Amino acid sequence: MRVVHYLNQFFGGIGGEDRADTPPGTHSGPVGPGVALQRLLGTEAEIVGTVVCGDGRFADSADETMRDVVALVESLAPDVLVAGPAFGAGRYGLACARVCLEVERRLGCPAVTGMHVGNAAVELHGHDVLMVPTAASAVGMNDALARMARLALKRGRGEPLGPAAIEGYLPRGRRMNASAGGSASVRATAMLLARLRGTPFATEVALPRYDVVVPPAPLADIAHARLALVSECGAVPPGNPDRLEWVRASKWLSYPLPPDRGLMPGEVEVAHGGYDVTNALADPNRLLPVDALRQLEREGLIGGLLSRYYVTCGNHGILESMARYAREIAVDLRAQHVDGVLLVAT
Amino acid sequence: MAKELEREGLPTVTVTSLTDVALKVGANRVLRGGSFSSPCGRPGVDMADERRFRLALVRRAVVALGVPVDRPTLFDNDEF
Repeated sequence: MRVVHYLNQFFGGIGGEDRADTPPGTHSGPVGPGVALQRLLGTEAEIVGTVVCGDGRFADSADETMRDVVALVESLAPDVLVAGPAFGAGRYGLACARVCLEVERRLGCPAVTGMHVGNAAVELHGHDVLMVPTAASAVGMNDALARMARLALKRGRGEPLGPAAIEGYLPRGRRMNASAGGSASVRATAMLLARLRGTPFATEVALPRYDVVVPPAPLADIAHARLALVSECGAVPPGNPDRLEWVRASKWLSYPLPPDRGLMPGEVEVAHGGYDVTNALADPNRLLPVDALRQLEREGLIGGLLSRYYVTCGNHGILESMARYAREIAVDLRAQHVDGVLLVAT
Repeated sequence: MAKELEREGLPTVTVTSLTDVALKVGANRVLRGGSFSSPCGRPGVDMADERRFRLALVRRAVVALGVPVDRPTLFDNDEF
């Protein structure tokens, strides 16, 4: 099995930050940590060459550098690529992740890298790249190399990977079907009994963890407050002109509201696969209570309702995406001096 | 989404029929909506009654934005 190892200028033995602009180059055989990696790979695989590139060079001219790196990797004709480990180094982690991605895509060569779970590259590429978790610094080099070697051999042999927790890589958010050997009721009962007895058990489905947000101060002067409507109900203009998706929305949108009245049937269409929209179409104020808010405006109970509303589709919404949309919407709201939000959720 | 808006400093009241979910997730001001598919409505009742319901709901929502809270709080319809 032919293995190519990708390293940055530091682990490649060229220099430190002062040599971060080192252009991509190859060395025959293993270099630096590659020597230990070769020992761990044993006789089944040989590190035929090492590609070294400066982190700064990669960061500054990613596309051009990537082309050169991939060409160098290709010239070595590997069966597997191993990149890093990058530990906590941000630029290095990004370079390793991108190299793995490109090598898999362009050369069809399986790749594995390793880095600390807090590395920015994990959030950016963790879904697409096989990564092993490592310590934050090179203190964890031996452990990282051992995990990477194991996975490199598996991938080089074409063996399927088991679940992340068992094989020792960072979960990529992929679900595979597997036979559990026992019905769900039996497994659930066993889990419940373990829980009641206080003995260890492992959940089969990890629920997302929710962090706490300190509530912002309440509105001091509601009568002069500007409020905005935000919703994940999928209400869009007829024809869904910006193609909001009905599931797993990839965007948020903002549309004008009639300035002095509620919404009329026909003014709104709903792009949302998760609830029955008959009632909403018959009276869109059931989703976006514009008529009521305009009434409160007239009564002087609120300063005003923003003349635009913000919408996305919450059907199977990916948590990180929805959070990002809300953050972006918040920036927009702040720029329009909005004081508070009515969020309608379906 | 409510939490991210709040994280940016915008007091936010969430109107939903899935109040348990909203509270569990950590939305700080939660109001129970009319029904799952009509959070600000009550289909099935007479139109005038429904409008009154919506107005009362939205009034409560707006008032909730002015109430200090220190944790996820359900502004139960009966309190108003």
